[in-house]
Amino acid sequence: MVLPSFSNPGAGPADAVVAASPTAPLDAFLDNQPQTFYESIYRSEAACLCILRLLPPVCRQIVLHVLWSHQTLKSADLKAFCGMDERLAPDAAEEVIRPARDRHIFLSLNHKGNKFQWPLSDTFKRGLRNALTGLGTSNSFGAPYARGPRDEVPTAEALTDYGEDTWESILKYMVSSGLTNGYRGGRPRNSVLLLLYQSGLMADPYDRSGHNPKLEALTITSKGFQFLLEDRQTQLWQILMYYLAGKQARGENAADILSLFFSLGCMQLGQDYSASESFPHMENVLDDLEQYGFVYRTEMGRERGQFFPTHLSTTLCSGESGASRSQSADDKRFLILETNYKIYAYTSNDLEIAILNLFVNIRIRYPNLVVGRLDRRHVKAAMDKGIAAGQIISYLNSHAHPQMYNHPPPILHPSVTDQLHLWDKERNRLGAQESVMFEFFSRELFDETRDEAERNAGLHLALPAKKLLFVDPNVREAIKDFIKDKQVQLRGGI
Amino acid sequence: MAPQPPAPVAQSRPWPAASPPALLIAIIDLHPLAWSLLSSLAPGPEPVHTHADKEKEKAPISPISLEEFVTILMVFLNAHLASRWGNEVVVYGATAGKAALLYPPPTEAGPSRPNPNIYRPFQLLDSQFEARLKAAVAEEEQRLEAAGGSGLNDPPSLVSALTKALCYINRRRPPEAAASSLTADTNGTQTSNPEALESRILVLNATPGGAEDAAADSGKTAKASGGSGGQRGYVGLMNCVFAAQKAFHGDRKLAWTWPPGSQQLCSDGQKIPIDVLTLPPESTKTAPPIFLQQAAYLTKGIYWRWNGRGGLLQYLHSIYLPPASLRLHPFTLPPQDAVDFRAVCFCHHDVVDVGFVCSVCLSIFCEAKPLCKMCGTRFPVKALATLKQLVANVEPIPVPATVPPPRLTKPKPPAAAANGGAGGSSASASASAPGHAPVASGNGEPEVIVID
Repeated sequence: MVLPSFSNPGAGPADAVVAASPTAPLDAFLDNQPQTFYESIYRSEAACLCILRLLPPVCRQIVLHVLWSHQTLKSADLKAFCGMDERLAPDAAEEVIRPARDRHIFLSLNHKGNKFQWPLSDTFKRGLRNALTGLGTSNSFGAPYARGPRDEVPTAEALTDYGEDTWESILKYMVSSGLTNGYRGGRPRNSVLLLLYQSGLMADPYDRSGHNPKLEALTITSKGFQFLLEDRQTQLWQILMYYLAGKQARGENAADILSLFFSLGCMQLGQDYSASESFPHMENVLDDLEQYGFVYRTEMGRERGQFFPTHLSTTLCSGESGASRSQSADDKRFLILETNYKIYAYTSNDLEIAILNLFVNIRIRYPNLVVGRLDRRHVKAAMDKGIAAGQIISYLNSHAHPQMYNHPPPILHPSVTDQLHLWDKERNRLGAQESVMFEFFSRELFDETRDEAERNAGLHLALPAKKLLFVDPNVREAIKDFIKDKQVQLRGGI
Repeated sequence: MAPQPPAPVAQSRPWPAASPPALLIAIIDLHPLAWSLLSSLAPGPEPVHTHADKEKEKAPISPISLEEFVTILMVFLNAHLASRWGNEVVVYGATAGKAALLYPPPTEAGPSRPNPNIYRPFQLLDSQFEARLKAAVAEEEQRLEAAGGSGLNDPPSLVSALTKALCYINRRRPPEAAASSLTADTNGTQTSNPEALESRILVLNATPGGAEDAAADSGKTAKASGGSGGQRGYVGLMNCVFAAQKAFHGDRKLAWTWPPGSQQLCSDGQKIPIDVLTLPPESTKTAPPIFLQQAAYLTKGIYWRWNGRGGLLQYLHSIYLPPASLRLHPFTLPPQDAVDFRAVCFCHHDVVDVGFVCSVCLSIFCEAKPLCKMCGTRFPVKALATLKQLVANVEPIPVPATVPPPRLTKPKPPAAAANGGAGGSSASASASAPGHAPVASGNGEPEVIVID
């Protein structure tokens, strides 16, 4: 049973994958936080601004709508503003501002007299107002470092290159750990490897106990392969959230670290900041982030508390547009996929070629061009490693060449995406399901039992020709009783 | 709450998950006379009221100076930048007879030291906008002094600023989109680049129209001033409106991400909306700037007139902040004041109720003429008598008080009461009596007799 097409607009699984937000890991983390967590994070203006931008556009507008008002948001106002039916229950209207409710920007619904209203969180209101007017005092947008006239300042390009190199060397290490010919570059720091191990992206296959892995012998897991195919921003947030979870497990204050991430996200590329004034008592977090390429420090700067955020940091909070607007955006759009499954990749980046090599049969390599083909064997090999069809499609989508964007949607031809889904389905064409089989001799009894099983929603399969019935084990007793009753009835009827 | 049998559906269409980045071009009217008027607003006459306690909530009519307004405007522009990553702001200033770009500066100014408590883009906007605004005001002052105050009565050059704004928007079109529309398939507007900018223009008008009493009572010899572009700017302003209507901009996203049922919205998205906020409140007894109102109406922008009672910050946020793609769905537009559709004659620059249109070049004249002044076409003399006779029979058309908003069944004030407790706006006040004003011939457009 195969659906005719997977790429019908709006509903297909391919679109669902594409629509996944790059900040999904962050959202998952934030969804599980108590109100006290938000109270402390909203003390940072940068966090207020970033959380506002992470809301869906409708919610954002509603928050800004009530930000300067003396009155609280009333359910009647909300319904009028959004053109909803006036008879709608306040709970249903609340669905519109649900994302803001989840972030504790609006507090829970209360009613005064006969008016239902959602008060705005005071801390958030103060934070966002201060962010817009610049009247805050928490230095959350980063205190600039007072540098001498002769201090060297790296250019924005140099910072981008540094961040890119550091991050890609980690990914390269991951992807090459699964290969036999080994990795020629340097190994990431032990703390990075430990985090990769703890997050399950890499594992030591020889470590039976799972307690003392050898960091040198880690290899990539299927979760790690999936991680590689995500777009850059999702990867960054995922790593940051693993880092945060690790810190939290050790009893450190997650709110402070998260507001540091948001502050980094609001900083300016090419500007240097003072660590001690921007993030008092958090220098150790900066040390850790440096290993992933989020910040750059010179030898001298490390001692004096000076640091430069790289583009990995400054685009953290840029929402859906971040990946495409960052400086390296054009380098990431190199793929041309033809309807005959041929792939032309205009890249010389080792990491990208290694990732393509996971599911593409690479035939030709030129200095700046790789030509290959999506074929069944390679795609299924990738799927055996745990990569899903949707991930391949979203990877191809996000790396599509600008030329492919200039044609009417969808970007990828449906025949290719459908084929990928079909290959995915091939792997799980057979599904096991426990059933109880009943064999009948009477056609009449068979029909009635089948109807009864359908009513109980326990029917798996009915074969009228052979008078066989397969039902769910949960309803077995009920069906048995039913058959006994019927038999008695039928016999009594004769 | 009585249970209603057909439970209302929460929403017919899903809320949009993302909106394209938006470019907001603000045009601020810097006319010195207009601002001296606004900063000396007299507290209006005591309104005749019966609900004493209701009136108590209303803030008094208070003057506003340019500095106060610019402060409010900066917060609003910051909020626009804050509402999405990739949003952009451009500010033009229109002084008497001259329009100048205030932000962004043509050359990247030397970066001042970042303030640890202001988001860097906000800081850049605020400091550079302020510096260039001061420079523009100083230059204007010098110019007026040099000219002995002779240019003071020139209308603010909003048309010039609008033209510059439209050119700016055109320049910002991505080059590959322009190229692909030449080479690619026939429906070339449907590219799948979701990052196309969505532009809109916000005109902050401080210049009042003419004195109201002259225009309001007498229908036939209305000499109402055309408002801020002055009558002389009428043709230019209308050309800007047509350019904005025809512009393809920011529509590509709408064309394919929205559900198939929303095709209508796609065609709406092609316009560049011109929003108008007009500051001189009704208490100054001045007419609204009817041509700006027409411009907003024709480009599906929002026109709103301040009531003079403070709360501007809240009104700006609640009326003008949502980007064009969210205005019709899911949000609703505030009810609009009635639009005065009268045109200006080409011969005397008067607002006319009944005009005579040349059938060849479509110029408008206030009286029947045997010779078109614009294109030189001759008309038969005997037709003039017939036309004059016809004009005598034309009744002045009453202008409806309020145009009903597109989707709202019951008009609602656009915002919850604002900062400073300002009550209903002028729009909502007149909207409270829907169906009271008879609407004649559609939108109350003036009748036009074609000279033939």
